[in-house]
Amino acid sequence: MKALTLLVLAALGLVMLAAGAGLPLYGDASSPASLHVADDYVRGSMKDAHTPNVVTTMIADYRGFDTLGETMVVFSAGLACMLLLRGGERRPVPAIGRPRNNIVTDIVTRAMIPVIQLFALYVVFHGHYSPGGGFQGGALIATSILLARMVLGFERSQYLFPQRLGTPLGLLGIAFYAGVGLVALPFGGNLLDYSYLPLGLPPHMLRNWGILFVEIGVALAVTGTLISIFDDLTTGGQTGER
Amino acid sequence: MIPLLFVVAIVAAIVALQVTDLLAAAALLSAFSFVVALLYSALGAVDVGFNEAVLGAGVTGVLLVVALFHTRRSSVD
Repeated sequence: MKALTLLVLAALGLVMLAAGAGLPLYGDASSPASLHVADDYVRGSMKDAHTPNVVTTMIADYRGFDTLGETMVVFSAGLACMLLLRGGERRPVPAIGRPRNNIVTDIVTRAMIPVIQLFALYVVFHGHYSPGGGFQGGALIATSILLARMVLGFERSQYLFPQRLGTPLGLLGIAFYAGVGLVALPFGGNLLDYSYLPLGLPPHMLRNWGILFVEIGVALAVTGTLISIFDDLTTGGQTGER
Repeated sequence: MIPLLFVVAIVAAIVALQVTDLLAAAALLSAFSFVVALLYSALGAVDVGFNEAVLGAGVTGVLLVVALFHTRRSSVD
């Protein structure tokens, strides 16, 4: 059976390598991907949305509707974990929620958390100019809370982020994102067309601000969802027992 | 540089499949994700590399380790 599996995998690998030979070369300017709309986006990013990082403009502005759907997918994954893990006969994982009471790891963790969170805020708010954005920043904030959960223990990390707030925070992020998109509707724009937001700025600056709002929504959604998945995994959804 | 990263990523993936200690396998998958993140950055996709470094190498590793506590630490085959 194992030999058969290896044989099938080797055959599939050969097919993949053969297909890879047909791909365009790295950075090929005449490949189909760089011939049609991509050129427009790369040239238009600075003019349309005053954003040098084309990836951010792509994700949050040109393809804003896609990103709204992606954020909802992330949140749905969190909800699925909640359905699977809460309320069953699954036991909590005491080994992870228990505080270590080790002074070295405690102090290093307490020193690291603000640095990680400050960097996360920088990643979210500087996404227009440097790599990063809402998704990465939100994941970084979640990582800092996860670090506290593991090292300081479940109880002692509640003041940083209470367990019951995970799912509501994710929902708030999606509502914020969709809300920014919906505000454009009564002012004459299409859904998620930030240039119609009522802020009294020129259209390209409005789109710049709209991207920032949307990134904040994504960051909140990702933070809440990742923390709620971790908490569901470690506690089995039971609150206040340990 | 890029071929070297590919070699390290493939070696990490194969070793992660072969080890019987699942904790080591989780750590190796994190290492794999980190190498892939470097690979993305080297190819110019810095945003994707950032994502892979935070989620693939960070959060996924933590979630795998937590999942290990729900089951046994060594794999059967």
